[in-house]
Amino acid sequence: MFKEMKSRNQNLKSMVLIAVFVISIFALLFTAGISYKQIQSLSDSENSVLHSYKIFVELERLNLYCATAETNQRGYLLTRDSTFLQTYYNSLDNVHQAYINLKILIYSDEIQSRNLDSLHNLINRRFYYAANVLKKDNDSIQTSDFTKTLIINGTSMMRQAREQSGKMINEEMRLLKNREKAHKENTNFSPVTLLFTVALSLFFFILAFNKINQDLKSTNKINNQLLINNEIFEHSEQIANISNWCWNMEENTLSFSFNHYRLLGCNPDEFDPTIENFMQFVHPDDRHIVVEGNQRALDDLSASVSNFRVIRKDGELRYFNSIGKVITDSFGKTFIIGVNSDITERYHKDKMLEEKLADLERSNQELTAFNHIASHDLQEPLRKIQTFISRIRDNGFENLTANVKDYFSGIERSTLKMHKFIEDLLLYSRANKADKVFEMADLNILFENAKQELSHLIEENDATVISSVILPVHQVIPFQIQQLFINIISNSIKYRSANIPPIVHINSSIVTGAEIPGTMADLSMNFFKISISDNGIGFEQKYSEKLFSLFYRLHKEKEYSGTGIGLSICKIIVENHKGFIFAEGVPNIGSTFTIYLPV
Amino acid sequence: MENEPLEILLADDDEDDRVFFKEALEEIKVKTIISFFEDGLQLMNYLNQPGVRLPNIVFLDLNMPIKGGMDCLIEIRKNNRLKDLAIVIYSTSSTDEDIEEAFVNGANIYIKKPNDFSALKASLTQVINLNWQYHILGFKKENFLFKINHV
Repeated sequence: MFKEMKSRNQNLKSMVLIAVFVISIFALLFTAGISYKQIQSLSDSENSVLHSYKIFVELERLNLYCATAETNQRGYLLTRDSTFLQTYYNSLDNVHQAYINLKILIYSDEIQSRNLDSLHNLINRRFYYAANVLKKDNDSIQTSDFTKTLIINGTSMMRQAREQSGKMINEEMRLLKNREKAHKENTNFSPVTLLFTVALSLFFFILAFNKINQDLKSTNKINNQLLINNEIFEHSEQIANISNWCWNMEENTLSFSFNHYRLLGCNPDEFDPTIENFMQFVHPDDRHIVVEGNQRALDDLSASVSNFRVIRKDGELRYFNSIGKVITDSFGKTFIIGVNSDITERYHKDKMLEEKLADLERSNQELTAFNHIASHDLQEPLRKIQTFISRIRDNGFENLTANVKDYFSGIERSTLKMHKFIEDLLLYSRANKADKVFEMADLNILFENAKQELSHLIEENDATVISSVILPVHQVIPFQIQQLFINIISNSIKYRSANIPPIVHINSSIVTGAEIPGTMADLSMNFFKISISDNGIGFEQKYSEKLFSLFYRLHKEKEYSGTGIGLSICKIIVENHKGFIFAEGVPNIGSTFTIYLPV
Repeated sequence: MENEPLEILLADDDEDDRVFFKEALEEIKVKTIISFFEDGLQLMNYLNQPGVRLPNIVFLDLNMPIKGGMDCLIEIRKNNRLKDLAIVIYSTSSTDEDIEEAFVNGANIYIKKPNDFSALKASLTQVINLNWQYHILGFKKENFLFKINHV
């Protein structure tokens, strides 16, 4: 999730960068366009100013040629020198040429065109008069009045033409003034827009640069973090003795982590990462395991675990555990990624544990065999000794001397004692035995059976065994719970007070684990609490835990007979039921045994 | 029928036990003919003789060399001619496993060898005086193991 957010963020960043870049390009193009336009209009306005000056020049030339024509006409009239006439005609040509030039220049200007037309008209009329003057002059040497009139008219035309040209100059002056103003505005305006667009693009470029710089910084930061992570990963692999590999299925390329090489006893990148090269290190007998493991990963797409041996470069045999899994990345490419771990130490430990377990099983079997010996081979001769004793007691005992009778009684007592020991030991080892069959059993019946079993002892001691509640029906190992009742009840009667008849009382309730002293119990679980209390000799509380240890006895042989096994059996039985047993005692008042069995 | 002596077989490898058994039977006021076998093989050889007279009760010790009592029991129950014999297991063992196995394999009564001579006598008396027909008909696991309330 976090990764997705990060990549989305990364996408956004590159989008912003692209946007800024595009904007910058547009700004640059805009600036270039504006500048081009500006320069073009600048040159246009310059051209139009130049155009006005050209018109001035042509008008001046027109006037000049007109004047030259007039001067030469006069010169000829005065001197009759034909060179004047020649120049006069040349000037006429020039006037015409100037008119053509002007016509072209002011072609687009309607007012000036009209002005030029009337100017041209005036000039034509002027030179019409001039031509007539020259013609009359050729006919008669004397200057006639008509000629004079012609000359005067011509001069008047000339004056009018000058006025007309002055008018045109004025008109052009006006135009020029406007054009100069526009040009000036243009020249003033161009730097401002240029400056503005340059500033704008500069702004965007700085923005883009800033963005790139920022991204570069964050990329660097990420790169650094990546480097650190890589280093951590690298060290972790070394510490944990693991390595990883990745097999790109489409390109059929493999990559190994550095530690992959180290685990094989090589330097990083010492050989090309290929299956074949890796297989060289796998124990020849185990190569099929690696192949099958990869196939399994491909087949069911779940993690496939395989264990195989590897022979390192230095020849050392190591045990590897490899887990491979097919994954598909966000671009839809398929890989098998795997983690190899060197489990040699664990393997040896496991091996040792296995051996120990086998030892344990063997010793358990020996114990069972010992039980068998105890139950048959020890019991057998003892039973016969007892039978022989009973035979002697039945016939022949009376004939013995008093001393021998005492010895005989000693033998009888010791044999009985030995018999009890063997029986209790057998019960103890049976309680310890592995096969425990839990069955639904009514504890009331088991309690009654126990009472039945102890009926002799109860009668002999004039004891009362009472149950004031209904005991639960529960999943238990029935014969063991019965044994538990037998042992505790007989214990209570055996350690009775000398002068009051024993009373054994059983009680039962349901409690939570929290009410059980000590912290071993699951606090939220419910337990059957069964307590058996008596009015016997009790014991000092400090012995309460020792009571349950094997062969531990609080009393001397002569005072109270016992093997020190009975309560140990109780403890084992309760532990078999995942329960707890506690003893509480008050000397000369009595003792209470409390059993907690999980519901 | 009352005067007919009861024919009893005992297969037990222990000589002392055979003697105790014999003495106990002699002290019981019932006419019996007793034959002893030292292992299961001897017993089976005897029983498998053609035309042999079948006994009234067979006592089998479990733990014997060559052939144990349990094997004999299984063999007898498989044999058409012998399968109706009254069989009493007579063993030192009192483990649940042995008792269960003997019951499953079809023994009629299980006696744990007592460690007291008078208890032995009491057990044997009870077994011999048992109304066998009734015992076999109303056979239940509860009265399979003989409890001798006499120490």
